[in-house]
This record gives sequence, structure tokens and C-alpha cells, in this order.
Amino acid sequence: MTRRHALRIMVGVVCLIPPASFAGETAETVLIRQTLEKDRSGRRRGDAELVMSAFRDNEVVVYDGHASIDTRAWTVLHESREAFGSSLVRDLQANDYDIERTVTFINVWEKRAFATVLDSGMVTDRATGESRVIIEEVLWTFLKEDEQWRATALVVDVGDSTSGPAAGSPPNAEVQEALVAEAAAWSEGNARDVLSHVDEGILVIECGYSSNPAKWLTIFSTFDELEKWVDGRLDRMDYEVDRQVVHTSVGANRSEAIAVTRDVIRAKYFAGDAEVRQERLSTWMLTRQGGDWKARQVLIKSKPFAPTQAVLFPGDIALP
Amino acid sequence: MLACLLLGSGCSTTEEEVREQIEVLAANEVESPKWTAAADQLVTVGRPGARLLVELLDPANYRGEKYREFRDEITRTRTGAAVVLGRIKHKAASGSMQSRISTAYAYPERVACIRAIGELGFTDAAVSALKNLLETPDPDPEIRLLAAVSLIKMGEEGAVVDTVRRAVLADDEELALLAVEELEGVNYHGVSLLVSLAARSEQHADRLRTSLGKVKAELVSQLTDDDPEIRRESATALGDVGDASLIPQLLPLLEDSSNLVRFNTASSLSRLGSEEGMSFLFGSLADEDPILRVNATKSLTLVQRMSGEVEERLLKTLRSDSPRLRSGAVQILGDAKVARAVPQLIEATSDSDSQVRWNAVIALARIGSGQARSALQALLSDDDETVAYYAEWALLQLGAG
Repeated sequence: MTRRHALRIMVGVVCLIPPASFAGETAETVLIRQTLEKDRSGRRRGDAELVMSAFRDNEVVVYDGHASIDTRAWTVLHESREAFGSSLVRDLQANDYDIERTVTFINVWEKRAFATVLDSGMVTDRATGESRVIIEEVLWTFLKEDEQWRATALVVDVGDSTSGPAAGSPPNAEVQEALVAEAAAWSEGNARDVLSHVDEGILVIECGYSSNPAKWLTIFSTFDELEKWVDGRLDRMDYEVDRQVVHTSVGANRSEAIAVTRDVIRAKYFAGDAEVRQERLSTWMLTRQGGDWKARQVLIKSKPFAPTQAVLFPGDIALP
Repeated sequence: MLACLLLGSGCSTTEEEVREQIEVLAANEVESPKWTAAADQLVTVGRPGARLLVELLDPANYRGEKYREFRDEITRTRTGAAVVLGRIKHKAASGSMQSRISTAYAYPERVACIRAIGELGFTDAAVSALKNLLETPDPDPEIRLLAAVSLIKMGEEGAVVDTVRRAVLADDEELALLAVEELEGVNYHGVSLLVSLAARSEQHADRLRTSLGKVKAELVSQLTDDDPEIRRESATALGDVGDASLIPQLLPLLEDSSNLVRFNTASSLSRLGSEEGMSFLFGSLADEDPILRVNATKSLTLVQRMSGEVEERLLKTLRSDSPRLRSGAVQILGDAKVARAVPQLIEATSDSDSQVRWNAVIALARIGSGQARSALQALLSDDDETVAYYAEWALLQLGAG
């Protein structure tokens, strides 16, 4: 064996060794880590194209968490891939990123996934040379297409529960109307009407009243799953949904929005006598299609932070 | 799968029926008449429905089309699934249920899973999961009690039995009554505890006697069960009850096709003072078949230890013409440590049959009687090497004293 041959084999072997291994790692989480690494590596190199290769071609929405896990603080930051890409190019031209990324959690269900990462490091202004420390938690959601995981949405600067409750913003009339109509469809038992408020690419996550994403669970990863479920539920139950919209944020182009609702749900079964009453906060990430707002991603049973402004939670009742 | 294809829509019809009943469980409060009827219906469906029920145990399965948004609904379906799986004895579900008994789950789910684990029977993992609950210890005395009862169902004894005994004798009236009620469901495994508690507890004596009566009736009905193990356990437990009126129900089992059933029944009959039971065992003691003789020896030892009912007859048997009977009786008196038999056992060390002599030597060593020392010394030079060997061993056991 020549020295050159041996060197080639050694390089090959080194390339086969994974960079690190993690408990609970699966083939899918390895692929998701690779996508996340494209984003980090692109930012470090100032390569916007590499960063954008981690994102889906026709669906990218970025929300700003404003350092709070209380979704009443969240607003729409970028409504499209183009808007996000342009902003990124400007950012990378102006700043030099030296960041480390810790993937704190990945949840995979079928072809959908969400992950939380903690980015830490330095951002240096290329013009002035001034540096500042960056520590930022980011919530990512992914879709697997053509054997590749690509990000569909980000919530940047997600804080933790220590940031306390957020005030929320007064409801936008259009968004409020759509969400109240969705609630009314449940009360009327009209499955078609319920589903008419849902985007084909719906993702629904149950947060279990927790602000810790490690306790969250993807419950619907496709429209079909949700459709079957809604049909089944309305065949068997009678719902009454009383909805209050407690926060909305609409993007500048009015094509994306985020909203938080407080729902009081009462339900009766056709097959029995048990009755259910549940109060819950839900966070709706909505997209506008042909003039209608449709849910693209929903976090149900969000953590019930204490209210800060009575006007948003009149007569608030403690959530379970 | 092939069976399903051959039967056409048979499988899907069963699946639809199971799904329908699961929805009834979801829609009704636990233990309400409708919920109970749905659980009964699922028990009737039996194992074909087990897969869908096992799925209900795992929280990770409540998503997609199977998502249930109300926690109480999950409690109702999961509790129902555990109850049904326990009743149809679907052993494969035991592992899933062991993961649902921690405080992370709702009380009815925990209770149903703990009870079902007991129904599904012994596995190392099941015993260890339940013992964990007792050792942690779980702050809820009812959960501890139920875990202990399930362990008894799996044949565990010792500290576990004490947990149940303490619950019955405790000041907590509600817990005591629950303990008695649970013991009622333990079948043959709980009989001896129930009997001893009925004799000790003045406070709940009536309730304990009522429970004992119910268990007794259940055991009698099980004497004709197809499973010989159930017949054997039931016959043995009826001996523990100590009620001579049970003798007529037990007698037919002396003709059972299973050896073990016959001998255990004869033991129980003997403990109840039945002449037929004793005759069966003493008759077998002289049988040509060594296996039957071993069974008879073990059974008579047990009877003597538990009741002393055969002591006189054993002593009389020492004067039998049959060396097999004399040898067997000597062995049983030693194994049961009947101190009163020492003079006769010393006498047996000079029996004409060498097997009787060496069994007498071993019996005297077991009882630990110092007065046998000189007889044993004499046997050191016995013509039979085995007798001499055991005499030396016996003297070592007795020490210098």
C-alpha cells in the first residue's frame, strides 16, 4: 500500500466518523442536525446561500419571540423566504458571526419536526469592529421533503418562563374574525367549515400547558390526519367553543400573522354521559390565502402565564 | 393476517366493534354502568381486541387520528384498557402497564394497571415494578395496598403480606375494608392470609368471614376447572380454610387424572381430618412407584407440620410389617420434627431394615435429640455402610453436648 493510498483511506475513515453522538439520536435527528449546521456554518462564513439552503424553497416565516416563551409576546418578523433572505444578506454583510450552537431538543413525528437550539458567541460589526455577546434561543420547525429536512419557520429570541408574562397586542379585526369563525364551526359541528380555516401544510403541537418544548408533542403532522380526527370528533361529540382572541401580530405585508386565543371548551359525548370542560391558550401561526386567514401551525395548550393586563383577560379563570 | 383475509371482513368487524366500545369507555365515567358494560363487551371480544387496547396504554399513541384532547378522556380509555387486558389475561400487556403505575398517571389508571399486573401473573419485571412502589414508598396507602395485593397474586410472600395485614388491622376503616375487598379477589393466593386475619381481627371479623365465604365458594367452583393447576391450587387453599364441611366437595379429586391434584387434595382432606385423605397418603407411602412414595412423604410432612392430624397414625405406622411404611413414617417424623417420636425413632435405629435405620438416624439428627447419642454411637459399626456413614454425620450434627 502506498503512502498516498493509506492517506486516502485515513481521510475516508475520518469523514465517516460522526462529529458527535447524542442520546436518543436517530437517523432523522442526525439529518436535522446537519440542516441546523448548514445554517450555523453559513452564518459563521457569511455565506447567505449556505444559510438559505437549510430553509424550504417556498415557505419560510420568521417570528420574533422578544425574549419570551409567553406567545403573547411573539410578532411576525419576516413573512417570506425572500424577505428573510434579503434581511439575512444585509445582516451578514454588516456583521461577522462567531457562534456555537447547542441543540437542546429535537422532536420528530412522521415528516415534521421541531427543535430548540441555543446559539451563543460574538457578533462583530464589520464597519466599526465592535463586538457584542449573543445568547439566543431559537425554535425551529422542519418539513422533510425529498429525503431532506428543511426549516419552514423560526421563532428567534425565544426566552424562557423567567421572562414572565407578556401583555399581548390588541386583536386585528380580520384575524379575530377568522379565529372566532373557526370556533363557531366547532360549536356548529361543521367539520368542513372547521377545516376551511386550516392550511394544507398544517402542523399542530400540544404544549401540555408547559413552556418547556421538551414536553411538547406533535399531534397532527398532515392535513389528512387532522381531517380524519376532526371528522371523527364531530361525529361523536357536541362541542361548544367560547373563544377570546388575546393577542395578534400581523406582518407588514399582511400575508402572515400570529395570534393567541383563550378558549373555553365544553363538550358532550353522543355515546355517554361524561361532560368535559377545558380552558386553554392556543397560539396560531396563520397565513393569508385568497383573502382568508388559515392556520399553518398551532401550538395548543400553551403555558397559561398569569395575565398582566386586565383588559386582555377580563375575569380570567385559572387554567388547569 | 392470512386468517383475516380468509375470513373476509371478519377482522375489521371485530376491530370496528372494539373501536366503538373504546368510544363508549371514553364517553362515560369510570365504573359508571355504561363504562362497565363497554368493558364487559370488550372482555367478550377477548384477544382479537387486545392490540387496540394495548395502544391505549401508551401516551405516545394519542396523536394523529387517535388524539384525545381531554385528559379525563384518556384516563377513562386507559383505565378501561387496563381492566379489560387484565381480565382477558393478555400477558403481553404487562410491560406497558408497568410503565403506567407511577405518580405521573391518574389514580384510576394506576389502580387499574396495578390490579391488572397482578392478574397477568408473575414476571421478574412486574414484581420489581410493584416492589418499587412499595419501597419508594408511594405516599398513597391505597396504592401500596394494591401493589402488595398484586404481588400476593403473583405468589410473593413475606413483607408484602405484612403490608396487607397492617392495612386490615389499621385504624383507617376505609383502607381496611378495601384491603378485605381486594383479598377477596386474590383467589387461592390470599386464602391463608384471609383465614389468619379472620381469626385475629375483631373489628372486621364479620366482613372477613363474608369474604372468606365468597372465596370458598369460588374455590369449590374451581375444583372442576379444566386447568389442573387451578384445581390443585384450589384444593390446597380449601385445606387452608379449615372447614370440614368441604370434605365431600374435595373427595372426588382423589380420582383426578393429575397426580399433583390427587396428592394436594389428599393433603387438604387430611388437614381437615378426613380418613379418606389420610388413607390415600398412607396407601401411597407403601406404593411400589417411588415417585408416588415421594409425593406421599412430602404431603404427609406438610399435613403434620400444618395440622398435626397424622401424628398418631405415623407413630402407629412405625410398627407396620411393611419396611416401606416404617421407613416413610420415620422420614416424615424427622422432617416434621416431632420431638414426641424420639423414643420410637431410637428404637427404629435397630430396625431389621437398613433403610429404616438410616432414615431414623437422619430423623434424630434433624430433631436434634441428645438422648439419641448412645444409640448413634452404636451404629458407627453397623454392617450397612450407609447407616454407619449417617450415624457419624448425625453425631457431628448433635455436637459434643
